[in-house]
Amino acid sequence: MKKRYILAAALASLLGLGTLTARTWTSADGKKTFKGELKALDKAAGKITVLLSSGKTVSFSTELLSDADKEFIRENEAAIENVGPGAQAGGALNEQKIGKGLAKEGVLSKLAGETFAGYKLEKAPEYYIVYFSASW
Amino acid sequence: MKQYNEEIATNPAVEMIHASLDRDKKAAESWAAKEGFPWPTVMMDKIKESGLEEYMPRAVPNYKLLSKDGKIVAEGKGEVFAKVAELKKEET
Repeated sequence: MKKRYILAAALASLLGLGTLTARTWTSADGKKTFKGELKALDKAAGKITVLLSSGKTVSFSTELLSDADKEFIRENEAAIENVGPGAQAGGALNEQKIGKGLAKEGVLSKLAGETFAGYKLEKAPEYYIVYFSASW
Repeated sequence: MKQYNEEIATNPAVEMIHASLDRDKKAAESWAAKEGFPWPTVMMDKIKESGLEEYMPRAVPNYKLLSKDGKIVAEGKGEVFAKVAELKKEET
Protein backbone atom coordinates (compact mmCIF):
# COMPACT_ATOMS: atom_id res chain seq x y z
CA MET A 1 0.00 0.00 0.00
CA LYS A 2 2.81 2.35 1.01
CA LYS A 3 4.78 1.48 -2.15
CA ARG A 4 1.73 2.21 -4.29
CA TYR A 5 1.30 5.61 -2.63
CA ILE A 6 4.95 6.55 -3.19
CA LEU A 7 4.75 5.49 -6.84
CA ALA A 8 1.59 7.53 -7.39
CA ALA A 9 3.14 10.57 -5.74
CA ALA A 10 6.27 10.29 -7.89
CA LEU A 11 4.20 9.93 -11.05
CA ALA A 12 2.05 12.93 -10.15
CA SER A 13 5.17 14.95 -9.51
CA LEU A 14 6.64 14.01 -12.90
CA LEU A 15 3.39 14.82 -14.70
CA GLY A 16 3.27 18.11 -12.88
CA LEU A 17 6.71 19.09 -14.12
CA GLY A 18 5.77 18.42 -17.73
CA THR A 19 2.62 20.50 -17.68
CA LEU A 20 4.23 23.32 -15.79
CA THR A 21 7.08 24.08 -18.20
CA ALA A 22 5.56 23.15 -21.61
CA ARG A 23 3.06 25.79 -22.67
CA THR A 24 1.51 27.71 -25.54
CA TRP A 25 2.76 31.27 -25.15
CA THR A 26 0.97 34.34 -26.47
CA SER A 27 2.47 37.67 -27.53
CA ALA A 28 1.53 40.85 -25.64
CA ASP A 29 -0.76 41.99 -28.48
CA GLY A 30 -2.43 38.55 -28.61
CA LYS A 31 -1.67 38.12 -32.33
CA LYS A 32 1.02 35.43 -32.13
CA THR A 33 1.26 32.15 -30.26
CA PHE A 34 4.02 29.58 -30.06
CA LYS A 35 4.66 26.36 -28.18
CA GLY A 36 7.73 26.01 -26.04
CA GLU A 37 9.20 24.61 -22.89
CA LEU A 38 10.34 27.05 -20.25
CA LYS A 39 14.00 26.36 -19.51
CA ALA A 40 15.05 29.26 -17.30
CA LEU A 41 13.90 32.46 -15.66
CA ASP A 42 16.19 35.44 -15.11
CA LYS A 43 14.28 37.53 -12.59
CA ALA A 44 16.92 40.29 -12.46
CA ALA A 45 16.83 40.88 -16.24
CA GLY A 46 13.11 40.12 -16.60
CA LYS A 47 13.83 37.47 -19.24
CA ILE A 48 12.84 33.88 -19.83
CA THR A 49 14.53 31.23 -21.96
CA VAL A 50 12.25 28.91 -23.92
CA LEU A 51 13.03 25.76 -25.90
CA LEU A 52 10.82 25.94 -29.00
CA SER A 53 9.28 22.85 -30.57
CA SER A 54 11.71 23.40 -33.49
CA GLY A 55 14.58 22.65 -31.09
CA LYS A 56 15.83 26.26 -31.06
CA THR A 57 16.35 28.02 -27.73
CA VAL A 58 15.30 31.66 -27.49
CA SER A 59 15.56 34.21 -24.70
CA PHE A 60 13.37 37.31 -24.49
CA SER A 61 11.84 39.86 -22.17
CA THR A 62 8.70 38.79 -20.32
CA GLU A 63 7.27 42.19 -21.39
CA LEU A 64 6.71 40.71 -24.86
CA LEU A 65 4.28 38.19 -23.41
CA SER A 66 0.55 38.36 -22.72
CA ASP A 67 -0.77 39.26 -19.28
CA ALA A 68 -1.86 35.64 -18.79
CA ASP A 69 1.70 34.41 -19.46
CA LYS A 70 3.19 37.02 -17.12
CA GLU A 71 0.69 35.99 -14.46
CA PHE A 72 1.61 32.33 -15.03
CA ILE A 73 5.31 33.15 -14.54
CA ARG A 74 4.57 35.13 -11.36
CA GLU A 75 2.38 32.41 -9.89
CA ASN A 76 4.88 29.65 -10.65
CA GLU A 77 8.11 31.52 -10.03
CA ALA A 78 9.36 29.22 -7.27
CA ALA A 79 8.42 26.06 -9.14
CA ILE A 80 10.04 27.32 -12.35
CA GLU A 81 13.32 27.86 -10.54
CA ASN A 82 13.07 24.37 -9.12
CA VAL A 83 12.59 22.71 -12.51
CA GLY A 84 15.13 24.85 -14.39
CA PRO A 85 18.28 23.33 -15.90
CA GLY A 86 20.36 24.02 -12.82
CA ALA A 87 17.97 22.46 -10.35
CA GLN A 88 19.48 18.99 -10.26
CA ALA A 89 23.08 20.18 -10.03
CA GLY A 90 22.27 22.89 -7.48
CA GLY A 91 22.63 20.75 -4.35
CA ALA A 92 25.98 19.28 -5.37
CA LEU A 93 27.32 22.68 -6.45
CA ASN A 94 26.60 24.14 -3.03
CA GLU A 95 28.96 21.55 -1.52
CA GLN A 96 31.87 22.89 -3.60
CA LYS A 97 34.03 25.96 -3.00
CA ILE A 98 33.90 26.92 -6.70
CA GLY A 99 30.41 25.64 -7.48
CA LYS A 100 28.87 27.46 -4.54
CA GLY A 101 29.80 30.89 -5.87
CA LEU A 102 28.78 30.04 -9.43
CA ALA A 103 25.40 28.70 -8.30
CA LYS A 104 24.38 32.01 -6.74
CA GLU A 105 21.38 33.72 -8.32
CA GLY A 106 22.37 36.01 -11.18
CA VAL A 107 26.10 35.17 -11.20
CA LEU A 108 26.21 33.16 -14.42
CA SER A 109 24.84 34.15 -17.79
CA LYS A 110 24.99 32.54 -21.20
CA LEU A 111 24.49 33.74 -24.72
CA ALA A 112 20.91 33.22 -25.90
CA GLY A 113 20.70 34.66 -29.40
CA GLU A 114 22.38 38.08 -29.39
CA THR A 115 22.16 38.78 -25.66
CA PHE A 116 23.12 37.22 -22.35
CA ALA A 117 20.45 35.51 -20.27
CA GLY A 118 20.61 34.13 -16.75
CA TYR A 119 22.05 30.63 -16.59
CA LYS A 120 22.45 27.85 -14.06
CA LEU A 121 25.00 25.08 -14.33
CA GLU A 122 23.55 21.77 -15.46
CA LYS A 123 26.35 19.71 -13.95
CA ALA A 124 28.47 19.76 -10.80
CA PRO A 125 31.92 18.99 -12.21
CA GLU A 126 35.12 18.02 -10.42
CA TYR A 127 37.11 20.66 -12.31
CA TYR A 128 36.54 24.12 -13.75
CA ILE A 129 38.46 25.73 -16.57
CA VAL A 130 38.27 29.45 -15.88
CA TYR A 131 39.00 31.54 -18.95
CA PHE A 132 39.71 35.14 -18.02
CA SER A 133 39.49 37.45 -21.02
CA ALA A 134 38.08 40.69 -22.38
CA SER A 135 36.96 42.06 -25.73
CA TRP A 136 39.72 44.69 -25.76
CA MET B 1 35.24 26.66 -29.64
CA LYS B 2 35.58 23.25 -31.34
CA GLN B 3 37.72 22.05 -28.46
CA TYR B 4 35.04 23.18 -25.98
CA ASN B 5 32.23 21.45 -27.85
CA GLU B 6 34.15 18.20 -28.28
CA GLU B 7 36.06 17.93 -25.02
CA ILE B 8 34.32 20.01 -22.37
CA ALA B 9 30.59 20.30 -23.11
CA THR B 10 30.24 16.53 -23.21
CA ASN B 11 32.52 15.88 -20.21
CA PRO B 12 30.55 15.69 -16.92
CA ALA B 13 33.76 16.12 -14.89
CA VAL B 14 34.75 19.50 -16.36
CA GLU B 15 33.01 22.80 -17.05
CA MET B 16 34.46 25.90 -18.65
CA ILE B 17 33.57 29.30 -17.26
CA HIS B 18 34.35 32.54 -19.04
CA ALA B 19 35.23 35.32 -16.61
CA SER B 20 34.73 38.52 -18.58
CA LEU B 21 36.88 41.45 -17.53
CA ASP B 22 34.89 43.84 -19.69
CA ARG B 23 33.35 46.60 -17.60
CA ASP B 24 31.04 47.44 -20.49
CA LYS B 25 28.39 44.69 -20.64
CA LYS B 26 27.35 45.66 -24.18
CA ALA B 27 30.92 45.25 -25.41
CA ALA B 28 31.16 41.84 -23.75
CA GLU B 29 27.82 40.82 -25.21
CA SER B 30 28.68 41.96 -28.74
CA TRP B 31 31.99 40.10 -28.63
CA ALA B 32 30.36 36.93 -27.29
CA ALA B 33 27.61 37.11 -29.93
CA LYS B 34 30.12 37.72 -32.74
CA GLU B 35 32.24 34.75 -31.68
CA GLY B 36 29.27 32.58 -30.64
CA PHE B 37 30.59 31.78 -27.15
CA PRO B 38 28.95 28.53 -26.05
CA TRP B 39 30.13 28.59 -22.42
CA PRO B 40 28.66 30.19 -19.29
CA THR B 41 30.00 33.64 -18.43
CA VAL B 42 30.61 35.57 -15.22
CA MET B 43 30.45 39.28 -15.93
CA MET B 44 32.96 41.66 -14.33
CA ASP B 45 30.44 42.98 -11.80
CA LYS B 46 29.72 39.44 -10.57
CA ILE B 47 33.30 38.20 -10.24
CA LYS B 48 33.61 39.07 -6.55
CA GLU B 49 30.27 37.41 -5.76
CA SER B 50 31.25 34.33 -7.77
CA GLY B 51 34.35 33.75 -5.65
CA LEU B 52 36.64 33.92 -8.70
CA GLU B 53 38.21 37.20 -7.62
CA GLU B 54 41.05 35.44 -5.81
CA TYR B 55 42.10 33.81 -9.10
CA MET B 56 42.25 37.03 -11.12
CA PRO B 57 45.29 37.07 -13.42
CA ARG B 58 47.70 39.94 -14.04
CA ALA B 59 47.09 39.78 -17.78
CA VAL B 60 44.51 38.31 -20.16
CA PRO B 61 43.80 35.95 -21.76
CA ASN B 62 44.48 33.55 -18.94
CA TYR B 63 43.33 29.99 -18.39
CA LYS B 64 43.25 28.24 -15.03
CA LEU B 65 42.12 24.74 -14.18
CA LEU B 66 40.59 24.74 -10.71
CA SER B 67 39.48 21.75 -8.67
CA LYS B 68 36.00 21.99 -7.19
CA ASP B 69 37.68 22.78 -3.86
CA GLY B 70 39.44 25.78 -5.35
CA LYS B 71 42.98 24.48 -5.87
CA ILE B 72 44.81 25.64 -9.00
CA VAL B 73 45.61 22.42 -10.85
CA ALA B 74 47.09 23.96 -14.02
CA GLU B 75 47.57 27.37 -15.60
CA GLY B 76 47.99 28.48 -19.21
CA LYS B 77 45.95 27.22 -22.15
CA GLY B 78 48.35 24.44 -23.16
CA GLU B 79 48.80 23.10 -19.63
CA VAL B 80 45.11 23.34 -18.80
CA PHE B 81 43.88 21.39 -21.83
CA ALA B 82 46.72 18.85 -21.50
CA LYS B 83 45.68 18.24 -17.89
CA VAL B 84 42.02 17.87 -18.90
CA ALA B 85 43.02 15.29 -21.52
CA GLU B 86 45.11 13.50 -18.90
CA LEU B 87 42.20 13.43 -16.45
CA LYS B 88 39.94 12.04 -19.14
CA LYS B 89 42.44 9.23 -19.83
CA GLU B 90 42.59 8.39 -16.12
CA GLU B 91 38.80 8.04 -16.07
CA THR B 92 38.71 5.56 -18.96
